Amino acid sequence: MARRHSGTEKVDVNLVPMIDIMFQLIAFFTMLINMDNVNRDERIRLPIADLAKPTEMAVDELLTLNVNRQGKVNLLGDLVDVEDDVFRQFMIREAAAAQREMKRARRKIEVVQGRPKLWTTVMIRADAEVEYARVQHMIKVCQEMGFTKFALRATAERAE
Amino acid sequence: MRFARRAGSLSESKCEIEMTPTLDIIFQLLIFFILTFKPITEEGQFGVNLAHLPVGGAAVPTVVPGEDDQSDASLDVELNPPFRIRLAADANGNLAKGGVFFGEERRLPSLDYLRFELRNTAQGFTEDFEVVIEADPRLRWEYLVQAVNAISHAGIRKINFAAPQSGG
Repeated sequence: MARRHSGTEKVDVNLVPMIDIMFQLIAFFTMLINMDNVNRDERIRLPIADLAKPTEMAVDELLTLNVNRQGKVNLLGDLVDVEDDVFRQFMIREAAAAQREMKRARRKIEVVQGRPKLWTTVMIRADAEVEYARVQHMIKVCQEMGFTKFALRATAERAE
Repeated sequence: MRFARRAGSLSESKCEIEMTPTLDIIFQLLIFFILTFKPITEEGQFGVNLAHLPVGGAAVPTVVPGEDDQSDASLDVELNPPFRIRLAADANGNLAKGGVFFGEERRLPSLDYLRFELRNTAQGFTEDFEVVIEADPRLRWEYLVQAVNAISHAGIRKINFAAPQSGG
């Protein structure tokens, strides 16, 4: 009788340590999220250069251009050919936005060869296999809009 | 008496918080973070200052590994004629065998030789030394970056890209 009675007792599982650990795991993963990566197109295989070490760059404004191996730029999810007029229009809008920001920040806008020298750094994340002519064309379009600062992205090691 | 009874009944009632929805959400968050987790691959950059549009087929940039050079390169270009390196591509866009032209005539077997040759050529004058890379338009971007890397290894900080040259 006594045994049968004990069988009906309610057994409480102590969930507190499990919840503690799960919260810690969530906090760990949350901290690992790198918000710098949002503009990175992970499908792009960057060229390898051992001197391309990550360093702190003093940048006023940053514009990241991801170029895939076919020479297409990823503009907010749309793949656009660098020689397409859509890319030029995009850069015109970016240049106008940069000028507005510079004026708002009361920065003096120098004029070089009839073009405003913009403060934005254009970060080029070009695939290792893209043709040089495509990248050169992209740089030329950016220059025509007044972008003068560029950063050529590379990786020090092969990403798997 | 009445008061005491009420107090007694309150202390005996057990208030249980329902943990199941909380645990469900926590598990879902955990699964989301585990699935979206990607180890960060370190990326670096070569800072380039391209203040001028290509004039006469050659752009006038300045490359400094890892940082932005704010200086204007035009004065140096006028005083010191840049050293030219030409990179030729094969039909597949790879660097052609012996396709590294050092100066006007000399050919180098590969890009690895570039840093030693440049170090010898620019002995002690690496600050003023300027290199222009002329490349075949079909050449893959990775060889350009490798060339920039090799030149940077030689201690040269001013590197230019010429407009693409057809033919190799």
